[in-house]
Amino acid sequence: MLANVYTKALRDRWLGWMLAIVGLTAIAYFGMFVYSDLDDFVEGMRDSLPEAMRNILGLTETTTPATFLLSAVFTSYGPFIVMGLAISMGSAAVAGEERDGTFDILQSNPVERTTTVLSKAGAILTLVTAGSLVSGGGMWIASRAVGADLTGVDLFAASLHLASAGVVYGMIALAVGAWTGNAALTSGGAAGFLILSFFGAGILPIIDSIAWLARIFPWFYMVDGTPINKGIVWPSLLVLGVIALAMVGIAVAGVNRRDLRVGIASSSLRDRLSSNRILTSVLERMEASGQTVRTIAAKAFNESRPMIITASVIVLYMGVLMGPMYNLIDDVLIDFGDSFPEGLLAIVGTKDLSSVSGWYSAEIFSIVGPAAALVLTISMAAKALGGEQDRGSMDVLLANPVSRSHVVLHNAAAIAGASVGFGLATFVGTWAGAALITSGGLELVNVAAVSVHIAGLAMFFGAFAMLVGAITGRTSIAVGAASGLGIASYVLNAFSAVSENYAWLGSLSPFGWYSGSDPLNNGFSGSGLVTLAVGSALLIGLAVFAFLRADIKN
Amino acid sequence: MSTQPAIRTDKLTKHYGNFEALVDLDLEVEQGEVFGYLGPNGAGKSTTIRTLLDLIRPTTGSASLMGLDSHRDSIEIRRNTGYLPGDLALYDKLTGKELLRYFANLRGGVDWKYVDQLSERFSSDLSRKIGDYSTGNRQKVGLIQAFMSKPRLLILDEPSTGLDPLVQQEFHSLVNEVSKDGSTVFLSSHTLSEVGRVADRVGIIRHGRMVVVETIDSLKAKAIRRIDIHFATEIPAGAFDGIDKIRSVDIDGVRAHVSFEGSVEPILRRAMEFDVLNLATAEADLEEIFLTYYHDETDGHDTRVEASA
Repeated sequence: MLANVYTKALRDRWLGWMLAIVGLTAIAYFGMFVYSDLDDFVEGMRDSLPEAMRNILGLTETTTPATFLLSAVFTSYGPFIVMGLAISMGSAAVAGEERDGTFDILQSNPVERTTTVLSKAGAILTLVTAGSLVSGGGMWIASRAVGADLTGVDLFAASLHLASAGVVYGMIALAVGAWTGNAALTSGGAAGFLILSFFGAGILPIIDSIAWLARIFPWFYMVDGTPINKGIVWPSLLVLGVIALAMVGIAVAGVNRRDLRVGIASSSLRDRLSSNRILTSVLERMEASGQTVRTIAAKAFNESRPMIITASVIVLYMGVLMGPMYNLIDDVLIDFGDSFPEGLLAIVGTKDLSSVSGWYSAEIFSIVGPAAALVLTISMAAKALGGEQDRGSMDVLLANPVSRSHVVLHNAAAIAGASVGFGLATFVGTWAGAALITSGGLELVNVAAVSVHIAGLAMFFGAFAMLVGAITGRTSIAVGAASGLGIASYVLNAFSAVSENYAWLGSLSPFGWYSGSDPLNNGFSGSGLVTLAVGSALLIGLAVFAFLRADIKN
Repeated sequence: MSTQPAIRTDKLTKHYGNFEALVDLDLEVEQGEVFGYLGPNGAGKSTTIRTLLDLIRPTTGSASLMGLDSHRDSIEIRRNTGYLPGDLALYDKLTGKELLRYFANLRGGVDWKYVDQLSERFSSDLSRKIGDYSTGNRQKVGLIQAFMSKPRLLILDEPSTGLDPLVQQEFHSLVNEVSKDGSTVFLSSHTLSEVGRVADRVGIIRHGRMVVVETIDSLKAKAIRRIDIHFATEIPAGAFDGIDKIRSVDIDGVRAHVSFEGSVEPILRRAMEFDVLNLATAEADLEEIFLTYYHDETDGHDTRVEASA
C-alpha cells in the first residue's frame, strides 16, 4: 500500500463523509423527535399486521416508534447516502483520475498499478466502514438525546452490514472503472445497479416464485435477516466480503491489462461499441452528433440529451412496469393496505398502498421519479454556470458579445425544456402503465397533474442549482447544495405527513409544494404549482443578479 | 472613436483577499499597435486581460477599450474583440467545426470563407472532436476563433502555447497582417524572444505592477553589449576612462573587454587612438535585460535601464 495515495484519497473525501454522518444523525434525531408522538400507532400496527409482514418490517414486541425509524434509516436513506459516496469514490479512484488526466502522472512514478489500486481500495474500505460506524454512533447519541428506548435494536450490527454492503458497491465501481477507464459510464452504471438493487432486494422477495432472484443483489445481504433487530448475520457478511474481495481482484486485473486514458473517455466508449451499428447510431442520435448547435440553450440541451433521454426512459419504463407489477401483487397489497396504519404509509409517500394511485405514489412519485428528475436538472444546472467555470470554457464563451443574463436565461430555458420532456415521459409511462391495470386505473387529468407537478419540482431544483453555480462558480458546490436541499426538503415533507402536529413543515418544503396536495388523486394544485413556478423564476432572477456581479473563475 | 487608445487602464487594481494581483496599473495601447505584455508566471498578466474582458471586475480603477468602458460597454467591446484565453478550455464533445459555428453564431457576422482560410493556414482539422485534439491542435482552434470575426482588437494570452515552429511562424505573419490592416494586437507571453519578433512595444509587469513600457528598439538600444578589442601593443589601464554609458572595462595587456549600452561610436573612436588589430562584438542580449526586470531581490536596486534612462 502506498501511504500517500491512501491518505490523499482520505483527504479528498473526508468532508463528504462528515456531511453524510451529520446528515444521517440529523435525520435520526429529527425523525425520532417527530415519531415520539406516534407510540399508539406503532402498537396498533404490531397488533394488526400479519406475522409475515411484521417480520419484513422488523416489528417485534419491543418495537417503538424510534426503533422503527432507525430501521427505516438503515434500509433507505442510510444505504443510499453511504453507497452513493462509496460509488463516487470507486469511480473516481481510477476512471476519475483518467478523466482528469492525472492518472498518467500518478503512474509515471515508480509504483505498480496494482499497488495504486489497492491503496485506493484501502481508502474506500476505511472511509465507508468508518462513515457507517460513526453514523451508527451518531444515531445512538441522537436516540439518547431524544430519550428513546433502544431495546431490541443492534445499531452496531446494522452499521456493520451497511458498511459491508457499501464497500461492495464502492468496489464494484472501482472494478468497472478499472476495466473501462470511463468515469461517466462507471458512476452511471454503478448508480443504476444500486437503484436496481434497492427495488430488486425490496420487491422480489414478495413474489414467491422468483424470490431467490433477490440474492443476486448485494443489497439483499445488508437487510436479510434484519440485523438491526437480530444482530450480525455472519453468512451475509461473508458473502459481502467475498464479493468485495473479488471486485478488488477484478479491478487489479482490469487496470493492469489496458492502456491508460487521458482526458474524457466519452468517445472511446463509442469506439468500443462501434462494432455494433445499431448502438452506434443510437448513441450518435443521443449525443446529437453532426448537428450544429446554434444557441446556448440548444447546446445545453443537446449536450444533456443522453441524460435527459436516460432519465425520461427510466421514469417511462417504471411507469409502464408498475402497471403489470400491480396486477401481479395487488392481493398482497390489499392485505398490506388493510393492516397498515395510514400515518406510516405517509412516509413512503402514499396513503393507501392497495389503491392504484397509492401504489404509483409510493413506487414512482415519492422517491424514484423525483430523484431521477432532480439528478437530471441539478446536474444540467450545475454544469451550466459552475461546470463551464470549472472547465475554464466560460472565459472563451463570454469573450463573445453575449450578456451574462443571456447565458443564464438560455441555460434556464434548456433546463425548462428538460423538465418538460421528463414530465411528458412521466405522463406517457404512467398513463400506459395504469391502462394495463385490470382492477381500477388512474384519471387521465390526475396523471397529467402529477406530471406537471414533477416537472415544476425539477425546474425548481434546477433553478436553485443554477443560483448556487452563479454565486460560487463551482459544479461540486452547486450539486452538493442542491441535492442537500433536495434531501432535506424530502425528509421535511415525509415527516410532516406522519403527524398532524408537524403538517405545517410540509408547506415549507418544495416536496410539499409538489406532492402535498396529492395530485395523483386530486389533480392540479394551483397553489403548489404557482409556488414552484414563482420560486423557480425568483431563483433564476437571483442567479442572473449574482452572475452579473461574479468574477468568472478559471 | 479611432483616436481613442485601443486599451487604456487607469490605476487598475485587483485584490483577492489580501493578495494584490494588480496594483495601480496604468497602461495605454494605441490602435493598430502590436503590444507585448510580459512578465513572469503569476505576475498578473491574465488578471489584467480578464479584467479588460469583464470576466473579473477591478477592485478599484477602471479600463476602457476603444473608448468604451470595460464593464458598462462590455458587450460592445466584445463584439469587436477576439480573445484567446491563457488556459484554453473548449467543449470536448463538439467538433472543431461545431465549436466555431457555435461561437460564430453567438458573435454574428463571421465570414465562413475566412474561417476556412484560417484553418488551412494553421492546417487544422476541424472535423474531429475537441476532446481528441492534442494541446497544439486545440490551441489552433482557439486562435481561429479569436481571429475569425476579423476583430479590431485581439487579446491573446500566451498564444504560442503548444504550437509547433511552423504554426508559430504562420501565427506571427497573421499578427503582422492584421496589424497592417489596422487591428490592435495585445499579446501576453513570458518569453521576450517571441514578443520581440512581432511586437512594436512591450510592457513588463511584475507582482501586479507595471515595471516598464518600452519600444523593442529602445530596449535593444539599452541592452548591455560587449566589445572585445585586440591591440598591437599594450594600452594604458585608463584608456577608456571618461566615456559615457560604459558599464565595465577589463584591460589585460593587449586586450580590452568593454561592456556598454547605446552607441558603440565613442568606444571605437577612443580605441582608434591606439593600434587596433581586431575586434568582435556580441549581439544585444534582450533576454538578459529582460531578466533584470524579472529579478527582484532588492526593490530599490534598479535595473540598469531605469538607471540610465
